[in-house]
Amino acid sequence: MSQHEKMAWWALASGILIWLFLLTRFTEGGRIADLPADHALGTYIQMIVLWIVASVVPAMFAAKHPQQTGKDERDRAIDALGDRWEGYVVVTAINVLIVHALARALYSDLTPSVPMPDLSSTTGLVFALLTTLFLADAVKRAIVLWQYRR
Amino acid sequence: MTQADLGERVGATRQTIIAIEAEKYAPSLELAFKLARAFERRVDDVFQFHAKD
Repeated sequence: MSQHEKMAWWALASGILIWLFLLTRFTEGGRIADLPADHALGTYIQMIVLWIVASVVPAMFAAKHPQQTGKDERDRAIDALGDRWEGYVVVTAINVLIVHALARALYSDLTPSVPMPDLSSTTGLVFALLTTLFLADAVKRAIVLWQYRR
Repeated sequence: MTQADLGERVGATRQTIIAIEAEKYAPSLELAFKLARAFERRVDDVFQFHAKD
């Protein structure tokens, strides 16, 4: 397994763990809780710190072993494909949230069959947007790993 | 010459050389020329194009 694959696994695993951390902070009893803004802000700052720590570890390894972590044209092509899919996921997820928000406003008496966050609350909106970012990053890492493995 | 040696000569990783050998990755023209030069061959001695249709 190349160092790039190991880094993609690390990024995927750390991203999932940080999202699970968010999930425990933003939900209560399986539903998104309407938390005070200071609690949401504190969780967001903690998430940023965790994300920086998770990013620093591979960066330190890359600085120590530049010959193992240098990227060639195939690595860059795989990264570009991952970035493209990350963009697709962001666009799709944002559009799903827009349609959900509009449908909720238009048909307030209907209950969605799929559990969706309440975008009218700060916590729901923040969690939905952060989940979009983590989902997009996870898809990118999965595409990168698949490309290295195929 | 090992795959790692060849990769080092042409500025690619060993994994990329393996992927090219296995026909799982089509190199750029630049890399193809570098590989041909490393073998002291012409590009079309090293690479052949097979149309899929």
